[in-house]
Amino acid sequence: MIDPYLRILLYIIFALAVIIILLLLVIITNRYLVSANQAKFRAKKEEWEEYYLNYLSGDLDLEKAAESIKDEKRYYWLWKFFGPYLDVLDGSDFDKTKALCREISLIGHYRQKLQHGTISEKATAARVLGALRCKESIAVMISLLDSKHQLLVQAAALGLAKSGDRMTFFPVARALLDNTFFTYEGATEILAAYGKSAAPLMVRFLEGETELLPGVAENENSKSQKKESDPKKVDPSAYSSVMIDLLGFFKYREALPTLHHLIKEADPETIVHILKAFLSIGEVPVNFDLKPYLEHRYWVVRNFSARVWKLTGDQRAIPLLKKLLGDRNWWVRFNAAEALYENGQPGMEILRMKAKGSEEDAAAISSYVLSRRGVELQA
Amino acid sequence: MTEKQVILVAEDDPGLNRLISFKLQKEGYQVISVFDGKEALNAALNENISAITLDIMMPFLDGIQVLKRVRPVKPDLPVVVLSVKSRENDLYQALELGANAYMTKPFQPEQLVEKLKQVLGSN
Repeated sequence: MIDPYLRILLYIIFALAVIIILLLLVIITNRYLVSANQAKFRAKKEEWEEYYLNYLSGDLDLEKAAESIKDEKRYYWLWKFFGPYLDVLDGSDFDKTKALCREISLIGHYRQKLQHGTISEKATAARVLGALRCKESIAVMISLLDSKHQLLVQAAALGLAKSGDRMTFFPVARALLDNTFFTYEGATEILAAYGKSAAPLMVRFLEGETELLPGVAENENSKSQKKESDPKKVDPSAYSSVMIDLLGFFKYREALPTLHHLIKEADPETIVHILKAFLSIGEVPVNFDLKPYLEHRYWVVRNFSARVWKLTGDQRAIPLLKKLLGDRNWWVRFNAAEALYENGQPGMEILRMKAKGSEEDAAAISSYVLSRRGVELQA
Repeated sequence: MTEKQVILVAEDDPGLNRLISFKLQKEGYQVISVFDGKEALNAALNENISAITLDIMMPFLDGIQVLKRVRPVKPDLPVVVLSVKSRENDLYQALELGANAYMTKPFQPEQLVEKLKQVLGSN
């Protein structure tokens, strides 16, 4: 006779073993199905690739290629196949690929999904139609930017950015910064997809055409209330900062006069973005006076100004750089010393002198910069 | 009989690699396809190639690193670099390192073939 407690224990062990075996079976089956599916996709891809390359090179006409590739049961696979090509192709090859996608009903299928699909289908459709630069779907994608579903807003923003339609730049910028949890850097990365051709629009915005971005002008006037009522809403200056960063990223030197004008009345954060843009562009505006920024109360501004100095080579700023060797912030001291080093022999003389002087911080940073540059202090 | 010129296609995207190779083969070139930076470096240093199309963003070793190591050994080897538009800064660096030409993605493969012909011709 088995002890009833032992019997219960055995039942539990048995049940657990059955559950574990079932789980293992599910995992194994799932893995098998996934790899079988991948193998099928690879085989299909190879088959389609043959037709597609021959179509692009003109050896196969549109109808024949479409007939060979069309697969109404596998639109998602077709998207996975064409997606990477759409990302990198331009000109006639892109146009031919788009024509083929239309002919095999890929565009029609995803246009229908964009209107009537589930959330996830709509999100995929926005990416597909954006990659295909489908002008006819832009209005629907713009409407998705106001969706309460993050997935849809993100997919629509990505789709629109990929579509490259410059007129959608501002709605997308607003949605990314105001209606998603994208980081500032993430938003900038997506907006960079518009390319340099969006730069003139950004300049117009920075020059005061705030109506290009509806909602910003009001935000400027009620910054604190907006932030309090909706934590997702960004500080309005973030729009300017993103655009300044992008102009720097694109090395858009035509923006220098605008940035010059802007820096004079900008808040410290924006000044930093503008100085960084100068560094990226590798140039400062004509008649740009760096001195107020080398003397700025905010250490990050002083720091970037010291870095920007090498673009100006302005000898009138040397006394200020010399003074910054004793700044309370290490980075400011370091970049001021680096700037002086860049000034050649006269700058090096200052560093040598300071290295032997009695001001502790200035002596330490001067010695450090001279030694990392391989300059003998005694020389 | 004239020997075919050999082009090294270094591109990690298999579809794009196939497409570029296909176009080059159609133009009568022989192609060596590689899919990462290490393979690219190895082929560039050890194979008898006439030119490279070099993608900047590749696994293991990026195009910039490949170029840095190839240039001292083969200073005259024509190199056309490819990169996405949003990373144009890499392209400037590649040109400073001695790349002969560059193209930003998205691009037209025919233009790449034309660029290659140009750099091969001027070489």
